[in-house]
Amino acid sequence: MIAVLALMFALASGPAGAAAPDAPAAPPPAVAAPAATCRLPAGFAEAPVALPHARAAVAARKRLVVMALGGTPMASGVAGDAALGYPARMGAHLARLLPGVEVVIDNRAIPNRSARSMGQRLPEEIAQVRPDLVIWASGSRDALRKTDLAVYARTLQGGIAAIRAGGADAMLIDTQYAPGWAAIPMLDDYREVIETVAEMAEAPLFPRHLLMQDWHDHGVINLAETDQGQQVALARLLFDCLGDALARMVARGLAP
Amino acid sequence: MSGAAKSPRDYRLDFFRGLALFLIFLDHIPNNPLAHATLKTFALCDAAEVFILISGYTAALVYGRAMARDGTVLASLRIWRRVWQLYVAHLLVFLVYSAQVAYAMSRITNPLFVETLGLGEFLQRPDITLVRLMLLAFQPAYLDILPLYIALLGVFPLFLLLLRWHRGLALGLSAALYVAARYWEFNLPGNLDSDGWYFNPFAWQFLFMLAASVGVRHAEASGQGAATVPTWLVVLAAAFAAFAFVIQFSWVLHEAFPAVPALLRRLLWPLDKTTLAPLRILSVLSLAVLVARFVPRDAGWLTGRLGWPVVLCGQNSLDVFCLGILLSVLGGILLTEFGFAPAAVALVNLGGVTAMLALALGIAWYEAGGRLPPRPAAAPRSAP
Repeated sequence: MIAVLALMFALASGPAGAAAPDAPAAPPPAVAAPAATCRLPAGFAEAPVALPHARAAVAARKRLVVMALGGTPMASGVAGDAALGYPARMGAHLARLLPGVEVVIDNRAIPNRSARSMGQRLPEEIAQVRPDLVIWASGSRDALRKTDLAVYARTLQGGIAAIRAGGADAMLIDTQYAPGWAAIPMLDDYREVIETVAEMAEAPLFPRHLLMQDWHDHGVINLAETDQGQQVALARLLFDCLGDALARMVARGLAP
Repeated sequence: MSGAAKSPRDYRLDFFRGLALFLIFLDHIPNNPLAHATLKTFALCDAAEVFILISGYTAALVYGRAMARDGTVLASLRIWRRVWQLYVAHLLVFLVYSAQVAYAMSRITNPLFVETLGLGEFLQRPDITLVRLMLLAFQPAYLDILPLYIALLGVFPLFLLLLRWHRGLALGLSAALYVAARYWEFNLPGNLDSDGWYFNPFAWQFLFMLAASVGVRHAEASGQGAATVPTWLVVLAAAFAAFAFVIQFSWVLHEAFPAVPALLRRLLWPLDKTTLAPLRILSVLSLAVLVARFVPRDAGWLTGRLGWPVVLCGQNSLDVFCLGILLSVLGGILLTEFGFAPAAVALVNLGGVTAMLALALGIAWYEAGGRLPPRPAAAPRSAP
């Protein structure tokens, strides 16, 4: 068991360690192919999305700057390459969906960060990046630290206010769906807070949990895979699917 | 037992403390569907507030009498001996908990989910966290109520002296500390990258001391019969409990049915637990007043076939609490392994409660010399 733990921490410790030796070296196929396998549950494509700041920016400048804020999965070490992480894949899919628009993705994710530490640096980072849209994933680190739900909620609310004050739209991303063992902490409570904050602030919420569960349940992506090499390949597929779904949701918010 | 005839034990305290232990167990099983049916769905507080309130009241009742009878030194030593027992229990629970979580962690192999690993900090840096654990400055999820109780009882002799000397002054100081802790946000150091204790002791002491101040008064007035609760207070408490119920229940319903409006959410949500929002205190106090008024001290069901085992759980609260915490983690592991099928959920919840009852009955059986102590006959009614 020590060996398993050591391996796990090695994987957790940095992006470099995550590329398993027997992982396929080639990048995943181009945009269209994997996206075709990523089913989107009924209703996902219909929910209205309001992104007024981003829409105005795209209309005025033909340019969309997206800042990504999150923890380990968004930092993309699991895929072995930030270019294969879901913010980067979202950028690729957005470029396809928005011909003629320059899409810039600034991924500010750092592994193992709580919402609080992300929120504290948010105004500074917004001033640097000057984004039109901020996508913000959080919750699992906070659940692990057992941050008071009220403190967590206020951190998200303060972050949304800071994002809007900086002239950008905020889109929240809820916690990952994890089959089996990874579901040990009280993740559901934190996911409920994300939902409530998004609803109260009228900010769009990207239903990552629902999508991942749907893909897992329908055999699209086996999140319970234990083979290390397969895990990397599946993480790449997952990130491509998430990027695709995110891009479609954002594109819907930009449509006049 | 000599004083027992004069002021018989108030089994309501044991019963509701036992009930709080069950609710803490149910609430701590991750993603437990049954946790939606516990106190936190119907009030603005949860079992933690109930546990601290009853503990404060009981501590003042028991140690207040001890202080009057045996003097300050002996009573203080008794309190600190109890603190030592709690501390030892905390360390032992941590040991078993670590083993449980280390096992669960060994089953998570996907690096996608490393952020959800519970005990990483301890297993990564045992050199630092071991010392912090012993100083109560490392409290993994689940293991945060006992440190609060240890801290509160640790300073309780001082506060008890103050309470017995001048109740108003004691409560004033406690309230001032509560307000200051909320305003300046000071706390004891918690886990390495967190903001402090999950239950900020400078805030939570207020609830404990508030309950203790009532307990001290009842200890001094023991034998004078049950204190009556003034009617205006009962009306106020009923109104607030109803208000809290409507608010909280509307929030819970809104989660499931968005058509139901979440009442006053913009104004009241979220309610801090770490710094114990005032509404949480009011919520648990209103429930306490209603119980004091409407559950008679000598209610037959308390010592009845169903009530009595719960009373025994409350009487052995430390053992039952520790078992409950470990069973919550075990329940989470079992449900994760075998899935959340309704039968599995029912089995885990029922099994845990049964195990807690069995432990309480076992301790009672052992302490009564190998037989179950007789249930007290329904207490004599005050009027024939």
